[in-house]
Amino acid sequence: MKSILSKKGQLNALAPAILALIFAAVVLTVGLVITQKLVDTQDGQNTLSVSNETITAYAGTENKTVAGASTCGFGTAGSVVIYNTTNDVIVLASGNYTAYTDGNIVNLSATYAIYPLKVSYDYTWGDETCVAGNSTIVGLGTFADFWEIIVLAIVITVVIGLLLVVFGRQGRR
Amino acid sequence: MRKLISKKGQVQQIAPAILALVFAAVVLVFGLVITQKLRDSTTSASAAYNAANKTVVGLGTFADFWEIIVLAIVITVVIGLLLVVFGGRGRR
Repeated sequence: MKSILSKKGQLNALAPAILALIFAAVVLTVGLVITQKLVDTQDGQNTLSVSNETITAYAGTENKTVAGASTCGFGTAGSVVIYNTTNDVIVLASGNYTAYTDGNIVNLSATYAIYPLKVSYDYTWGDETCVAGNSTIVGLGTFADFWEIIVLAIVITVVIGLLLVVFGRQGRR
Repeated sequence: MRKLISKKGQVQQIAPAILALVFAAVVLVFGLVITQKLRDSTTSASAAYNAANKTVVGLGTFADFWEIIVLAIVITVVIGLLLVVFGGRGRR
């Protein structure tokens, strides 16, 4: 039978393998944190204007959010003007609505609730850097899904290697 | 039995590979930040702005391929590890 030395070798491979895995995991996590921080610096850095975005009719006094609020790295919304669909009545000025900087527009009365509306506003967001940066973080983050497979492969390698040391040689005698 | 060194090599590829990935990711994002700042320093809708914007968008598409790159690294490591055990026996 081949040697205790080889067998020991199989087991001795475990510690460096785990060390390498842990080092890799720390590097991955630190890298993700750094990338996230870098991407976050771009939040709300670019201003975009939106004209005549449609808001569906309110169901009584409810809250609706402008589309810009869901963009990557959204900062604040401002200069909000709400029109009716023929663009001739500014209903926000009448005090029927309140527009918040987080992009929410709250209907305060039922006066205009049944009509669809249009809203024009400015908002700040993170632009393409935010989009690509987030894709990078998500993409790198998928590595985390594979740790179990890598661990399994290491375990299989060590266990089968050990078994082959014991049983693999017997057939060849 | 094929060599401890090969096996160690497979596992120890992971850390440098991730380090390289992370470095590339940080460089990409940092590059995008710089390019975007440069773009914003030009007049909106000018030719320079449009070209710079296309550059930002074009570079940004690299970000869509991280998952494939990660998958390739994982496949390389895992199959490499398995070949250490199973690949060598057929050749004996």
